[in-house]
Amino acid sequence: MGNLLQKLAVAADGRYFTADEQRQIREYAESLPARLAAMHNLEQIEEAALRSAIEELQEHFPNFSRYHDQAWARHFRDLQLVVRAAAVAMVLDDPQEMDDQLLFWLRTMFAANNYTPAFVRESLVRLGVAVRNRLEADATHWVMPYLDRAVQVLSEFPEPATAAV
Amino acid sequence: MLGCSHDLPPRGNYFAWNAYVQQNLHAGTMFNRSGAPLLIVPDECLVAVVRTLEEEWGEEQATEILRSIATAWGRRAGEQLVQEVTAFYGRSFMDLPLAMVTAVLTEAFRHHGWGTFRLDFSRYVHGIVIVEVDNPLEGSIARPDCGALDHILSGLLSGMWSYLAGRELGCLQTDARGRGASVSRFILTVPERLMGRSAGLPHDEALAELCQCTTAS
Repeated sequence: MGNLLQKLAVAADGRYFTADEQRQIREYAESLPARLAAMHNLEQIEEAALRSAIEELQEHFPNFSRYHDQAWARHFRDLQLVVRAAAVAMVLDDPQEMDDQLLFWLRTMFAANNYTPAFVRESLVRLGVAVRNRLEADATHWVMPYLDRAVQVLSEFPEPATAAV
Repeated sequence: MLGCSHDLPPRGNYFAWNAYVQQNLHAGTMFNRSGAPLLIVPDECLVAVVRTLEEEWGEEQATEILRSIATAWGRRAGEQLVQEVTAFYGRSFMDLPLAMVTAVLTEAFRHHGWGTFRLDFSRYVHGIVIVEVDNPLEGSIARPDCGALDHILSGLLSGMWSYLAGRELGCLQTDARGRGASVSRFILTVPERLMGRSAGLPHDEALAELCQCTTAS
């Protein structure tokens, strides 16, 4: 756990940073403007991407709203949390930050709501496509690995006894 | 509990480690994000407590003492959890959607090192909640040579859920990692239904008996 700088600081206990560690720090520092720009770009397109993904999902899962009160509004909020957690983790260059901060917790909620792994996967894949279609090319490079990771982590839970999607 | 959560503030996991644990190294103290003191108890301490109680009081009484302590602790932990989570999410814990309560409890146990929990409400109509725990430490380290049960965890669950449910609930452990099962399993229900049943019964057998039982739930 911990981002690159924290990990390197722990590893360098009692000594100076090695040449390779200095290179990693320099590369990370040089990447920060691009990471922050990608976050800003993501913030700008967040609403449109989420609305697009939710509209597509509503067509494919017409019964979802029968099972849950305020189902789509709630799902919008959950996917919004994923996008924002991905942005923070991307800036920090720390995928595990996203797991601990949000994904494990959210996955438990999805399972407790009797969502299916396929529904969650479909939701996040469509969200990823909607984001990719709207982001600038540079931002896509930084953001998409984190959304891809969210697909993997969040859809990894057992099938519910009675699906509610 | 409410069926919707869309109007909750967009906040993530209260127990996220980087935010949850705050250390004051000048004072040598540690607190959670709400300011409650935290103390790391190493496994050697747990082993010493369990073995000393057994030596002084015998296994049966030691088990009762451990469960009693853990039950009292569970009540207080439940009370504290409700206060902290209510403040964090800006809504009464008891008004949170069930899925969110499940996620909060799961993360609470996971981040305090008690293993990964899965709460199963499929027998709720029978007045039963099942808790499955991966990687519980207690039974595996306290008396690994004789396949110990997770008495502290069982008492903790009983006390916490009694507080959350607003009525007395007992906890019966069926499967145990310390006895070679893949996960430890616990059954929570009213204590009257658990009377005369001993821990360590095969899970499916114990569950089937309890579901047939018509005692008030």
